[in-house]
Amino acid sequence: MMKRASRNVLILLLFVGLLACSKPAVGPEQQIRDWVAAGVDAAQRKDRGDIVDMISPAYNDRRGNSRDDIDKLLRLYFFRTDNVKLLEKIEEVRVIADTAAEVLLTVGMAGSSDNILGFRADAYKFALELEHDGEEWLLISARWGQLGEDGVW
Amino acid sequence: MVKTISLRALLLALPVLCSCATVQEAVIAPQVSLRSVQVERLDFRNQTFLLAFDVTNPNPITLPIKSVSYGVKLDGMRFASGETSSNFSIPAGGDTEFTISADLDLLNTAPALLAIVRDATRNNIPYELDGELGVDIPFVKPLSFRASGQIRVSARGY
Repeated sequence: MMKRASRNVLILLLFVGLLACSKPAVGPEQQIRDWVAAGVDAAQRKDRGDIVDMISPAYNDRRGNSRDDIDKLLRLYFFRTDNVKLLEKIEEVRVIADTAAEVLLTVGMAGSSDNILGFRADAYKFALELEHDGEEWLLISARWGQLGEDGVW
Repeated sequence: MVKTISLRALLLALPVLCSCATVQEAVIAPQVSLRSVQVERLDFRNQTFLLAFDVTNPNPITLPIKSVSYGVKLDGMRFASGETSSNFSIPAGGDTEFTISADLDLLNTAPALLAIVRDATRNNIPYELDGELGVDIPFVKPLSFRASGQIRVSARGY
């Protein structure tokens, strides 16, 4: 009776193991696309903590912003806005040696009260630099500019 | 091309469909004042003035400034205006200053201003200032400023 139970457990474990092995591995590009989606989702939920967790402690951008500066900026965004609705479009994902990547994306913010000026004032292009720390992708730097500006991508 | 048009269409349509707050008001406009007007160069064809501004940032974040547009009236007359790209930051809760060089041709464009400027080198005269600061923070629109006060034109060496 015990032997049969042990055998069943072993078969079950093997089956689960096989299932795990057969699960298609997610490549770096898809991981990064998921990372972007998670960031947009966190922004729309106004979850500052989730976003900050996606930023490397070593973050630094051309304006000299640190992770703390971005945290303060997010605090201001979320404090003064009722809703954040983002529309993102990934233009390109460049993966370098599976440990570094650059994502080019366009992000629009909905809800502008200045509809006459249209999206130009409210759509930005971003170049995000990511690094993989062995466990997850983290934002290490970023550039941005209004749609139509030169020099971001 | 098709994707770009689709994105634009969506971006245009979403504001209509959603009634959400924007971050336009997220950043409070800095206070800007005209600190000094100094004659830098003076001849018959051109006059160059250095306009120095004080700016105070009431926000808890540093404001990176990428452009300044401004208009200055002296004694009710348009004295100088323009737009210039910039690269300076106003610290969070702090202040800084910036200077703009304005090239004018008062003899041809506004001879009446010459008398005002001459008067302003001896006495304080009223000024009015307005403009916008372009901020290098995504989704934050240019921040308007307006100020008025008294100013004296410094014309050392002239």
